[in-house]
Amino acid sequence: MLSTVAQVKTDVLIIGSGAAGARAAIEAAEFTAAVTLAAKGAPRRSGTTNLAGVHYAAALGHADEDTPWEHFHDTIVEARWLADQELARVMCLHGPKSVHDLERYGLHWYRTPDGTHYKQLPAPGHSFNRGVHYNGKTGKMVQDALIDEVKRHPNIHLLGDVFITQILVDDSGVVGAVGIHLERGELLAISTRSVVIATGGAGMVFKVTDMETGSTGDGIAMAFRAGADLIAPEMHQFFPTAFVWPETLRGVAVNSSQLWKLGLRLYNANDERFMERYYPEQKEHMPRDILSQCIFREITEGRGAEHGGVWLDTRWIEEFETLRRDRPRSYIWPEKLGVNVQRIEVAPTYHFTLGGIRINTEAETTIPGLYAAGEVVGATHGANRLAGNALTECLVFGEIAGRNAALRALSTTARPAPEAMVRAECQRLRGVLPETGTGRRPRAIYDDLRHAMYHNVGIVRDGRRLRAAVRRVAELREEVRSVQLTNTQHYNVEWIWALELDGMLELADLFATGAEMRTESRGAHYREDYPLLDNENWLKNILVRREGKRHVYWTEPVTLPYLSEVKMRYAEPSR
Amino acid sequence: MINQENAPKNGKPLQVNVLRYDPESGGAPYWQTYTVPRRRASRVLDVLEYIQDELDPGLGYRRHICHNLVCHSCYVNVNGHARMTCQALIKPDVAEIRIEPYGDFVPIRDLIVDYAQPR
Ligand SMILES: Cc1cc2nc3c(=O)[nH]c(=O)nc-3n(C[C@H](O)[C@H](O)[C@H](O)COP(=O)(O)OP(=O)(O)OC[C@H]3O[C@@H](n4cnc5c(N)ncnc54)[C@H](O)[C@@H]3O)c2cc1C
Ligand code: FES
Repeated sequence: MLSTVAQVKTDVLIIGSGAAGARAAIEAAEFTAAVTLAAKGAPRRSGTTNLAGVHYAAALGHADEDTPWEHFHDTIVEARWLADQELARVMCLHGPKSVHDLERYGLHWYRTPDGTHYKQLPAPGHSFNRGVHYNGKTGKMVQDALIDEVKRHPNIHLLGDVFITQILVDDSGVVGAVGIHLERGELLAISTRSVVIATGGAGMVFKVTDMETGSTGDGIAMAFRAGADLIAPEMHQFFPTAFVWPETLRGVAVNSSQLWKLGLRLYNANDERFMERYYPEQKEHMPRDILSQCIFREITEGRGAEHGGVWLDTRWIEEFETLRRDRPRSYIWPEKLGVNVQRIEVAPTYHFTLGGIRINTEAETTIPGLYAAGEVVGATHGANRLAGNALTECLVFGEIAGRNAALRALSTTARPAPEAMVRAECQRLRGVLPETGTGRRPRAIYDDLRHAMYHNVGIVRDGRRLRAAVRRVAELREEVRSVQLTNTQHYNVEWIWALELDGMLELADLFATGAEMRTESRGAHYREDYPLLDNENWLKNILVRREGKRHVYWTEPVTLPYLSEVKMRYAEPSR
Repeated sequence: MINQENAPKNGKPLQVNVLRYDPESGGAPYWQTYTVPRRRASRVLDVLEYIQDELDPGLGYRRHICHNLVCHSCYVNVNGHARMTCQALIKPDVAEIRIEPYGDFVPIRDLIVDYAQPR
């Protein structure tokens, strides 16, 4: 197994070809670096970027008097003041430019009928019409435009079906990486002084998610193993409304933040419009985190419908028929699977990984030569992300990461990936992919982990269940050592699950432990045993780093360099 | 409900014939038949995931996919026609289906093709 090692040399290695990784590759290539853009799936086809629905948030001011500063203000307030203001500021200020970049790469955004202005749509939490878009295909169009541009650069080498497993680091910073060429079942030793991690989120750690199925948080786990700081491991966003039925659609978001703006209504099994009870004034006009919690409550307190969801009623929306025809994938397709789109049974689904790798405004992690961009990064959106801000983050920080990675590579002497480190990673991989395991198959353990995380570290948490999750994760980690695998070399699907599981188990422990530390409720983090928001004690972030075998946790106060008067937008119960 | 759920809770199991190919043995492709319960046979995608998860973890089929009509990673030939598995509904009265790798690209293993290498 994995007996041959192929050598790869590159100035910059970018892990992940979604929006963030592809943008980073283009930028690094424009600075003349030789770039390797690796993805564990097929480039263009893999990643969550394709799935992004509609909004790309950028304050162009084409629909109204919007400014990047207003965008920044909304982002911080909706983040419940936990966002890193420096990162959010850069995202909002650079957002409009990234819209133009994408247009240059070939994405022809929807425009006003006379063609002079971009169309900008409203979304909850945004004070202005901010979402440029390509109807229901925005993510796909962004991904396509970026890969088309990538292909125009001869110095970008696209490497599909390559699973990166480790970043090699010594005292001077990044010195290489190791991966598995899935098609050949061969090890790759990659010599490089600059690595950009752009592997997306970790939705698959939870049982129900609308993310692409490769979203297993590999890059976050890799950065952690390499010794980088992670931030906000407890923060995970759920999208309030996703199909619960039929089974084949479970977890797929009923995808339009616009629906809320247009006036959808939510009912429980008793036909009560329950949001009136929680928020008599705003009703359904609440951010994702609060809607998710209210829906989850209805369900767990026994007011859920037939398949364990609540009813999303679209009959009150005048424009619905137009929207339905405009977005066949969202509405007409589910009809073919038996859904009545006038009244859809829905429940929250895992949607976005808010925590992740800590970076500064130069997209640098705490390890020299290691950069990160996109959903893999933590703290840009604090405790709640606004619609459309994810793609913007990818493009803005992808550009910055690509530039800095190239500049470092071009000014540092290249050297081969240290052999001893490559050997050590081979050794580790033999443990992750045992040849003679007799235990359960990886998929079964994978499912158990996802189940435990969804129920114990999901939308509503308490200390007892969080501790139970930590224990369960430890048991599964023990079990995974003797996992039983198919014995084939070329594209072994079970290897992928075992590799992913290894990182997911690491992350699950951090997610649950972080959630237990935060003894308050804020945004996406809701503790039944600490239901109040606590600005006095918890206007801080949780951080974690690995030192040897130890996990070291600490907290740091949120700094408020630009907006300092902490005011909440919604009447959340607080201390 | 406007429509009936297209996968009935019971009913005769579906016979699924899959064309397999093992690059290591170097041998010719061969057919293998799997039996899948009806309730797990809404779409061809569900069928392949069921086989991989419950019957044969060695079956090569890409799992880094969107499940939702956008990624175009899921192509196979169903009864001789190129289809996206996530879009290919299986009618309740169909007893048997035939699945082969998508013909436009070079095969890697079983139903996995190399999208970077058109044939
Ligand atoms: C249903 C849905 C709708 C959404 N709608 C919107 C929206 O309307 N607007 C918005 O702004 N955001 C939206 N989002 C969020 C947004 O799509 C994502 O946050 C964003 O696309 C993430 O991009 P990324 O480049 O960080 O990662 P991804 O696009 O997920 O790409 C990750 C890449 O990393 C690769 N990879 C992972 N692990 C490894 C490894 N170990 N080795 C090698 N390669 C690896 C993958 O193959 C892939 O190429 C939505 C998300 C979902 C799920
Ligand atoms: S699974 Fe993505 S298009 Fe079929």
